[in-house]
Amino acid sequence: MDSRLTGATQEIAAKLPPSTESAHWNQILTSLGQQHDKQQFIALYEYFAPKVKAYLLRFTSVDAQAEELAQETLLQVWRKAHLYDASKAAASTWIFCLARNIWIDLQRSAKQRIEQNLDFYDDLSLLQEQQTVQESGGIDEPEAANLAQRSKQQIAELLRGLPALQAQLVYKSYLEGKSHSEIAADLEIPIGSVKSGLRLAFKKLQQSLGVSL
Amino acid sequence: MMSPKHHPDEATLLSYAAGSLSAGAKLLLDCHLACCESCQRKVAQVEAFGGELLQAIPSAVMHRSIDQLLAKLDTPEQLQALQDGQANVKPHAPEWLPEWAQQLSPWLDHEQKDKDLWQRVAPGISQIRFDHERFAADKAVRLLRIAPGTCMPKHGHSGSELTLILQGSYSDETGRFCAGDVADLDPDIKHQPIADRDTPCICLIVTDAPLRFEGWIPKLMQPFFGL
Repeated sequence: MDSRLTGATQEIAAKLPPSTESAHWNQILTSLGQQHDKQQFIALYEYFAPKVKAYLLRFTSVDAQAEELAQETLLQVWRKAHLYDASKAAASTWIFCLARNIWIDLQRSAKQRIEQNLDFYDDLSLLQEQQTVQESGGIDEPEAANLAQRSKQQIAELLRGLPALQAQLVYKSYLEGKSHSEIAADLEIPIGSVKSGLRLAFKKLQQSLGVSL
Repeated sequence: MMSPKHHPDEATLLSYAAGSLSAGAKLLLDCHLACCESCQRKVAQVEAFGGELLQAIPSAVMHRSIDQLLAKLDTPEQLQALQDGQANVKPHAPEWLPEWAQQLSPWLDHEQKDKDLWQRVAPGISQIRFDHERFAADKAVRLLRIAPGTCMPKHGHSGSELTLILQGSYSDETGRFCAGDVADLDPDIKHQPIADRDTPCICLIVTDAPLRFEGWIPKLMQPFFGL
């Protein structure tokens, strides 16, 4: 395989403004569904597999497991690409759903979730992310740290429109996988408050994201 | 597609999109979504937030090479065969299970006759419990069949209760619930459902904490519900 070619694809994508970048991946995924082209698959893999792995590392501390499931997710991308419809969801959304479902299916046979007390106000998670990247080597450190910093800012940016409690509820739902009752126990607030907070957050997310759909 | 009138709470839809519902609640939502376009749209909106998160999240480093995975990729012919195979799978299910709720079928014991599946818990009320370890995080996942006109004991909840109507209908203080409708109740709500008169009401109920019955006679029934 020509990895330089796909590396270049990724570089170009990274330089595009977010909406164009998103459209770029939508197009590649659509075309993968029609043509089953391995080069396009490799491009999707190189961009999304490390992100899917990072997402799954929120739920399992076992690096090898997160990596295996990330590969499984991308295998599903290959198998199901013909079902992808760019008019209904962005490629990143579609792949998020595949990764989410694979994790849910696995979790069912055993409660594998690890206890996570990190929240996004805490710099600990940023620190760990940097360490993970640094330990593995091969990547220019300042660049990796920069990437982690930028991504963290982006997550914070996504949640910035929400009041603190709602942001925390949304974070716990998406990145800690916690149910209403688990969140209520975590934060020591009534389950009714969790639901009303998430209901308000839903409206805000709908306003900020829903318009493009 | 049908158009149910009662829907899950938006907080529940958000948790579904986030992948953080318990297995039982997710199963119930899967069924409702299969028959409700308006909830499908709402879920898609909050799934889009998941997509944004995925793009924003710091990339982890992959240690394995992609070559192993590339070797596993199906050829276009194999992909075609895979698609054809899926189209031919026809689940075997009891007649009372609507098309949109076929996801429940794997949890029913198909070895048994339908009448043996249902376990009587009180006059006019029988149930099928889903006891698989997959539902360990739920307090209870069960199907309830309520004879026409039967009045359920008035009860509140210490946790949340999700109910999906599969067949028939019932009414309570909050309205009339028909096939496809979901009642998504907060812990503080007390209600007394009454099955409507025409047909038995069959519903899927997922609770995340024990129901609390009022009065001593219904309390006697509590053990029968297995809660």
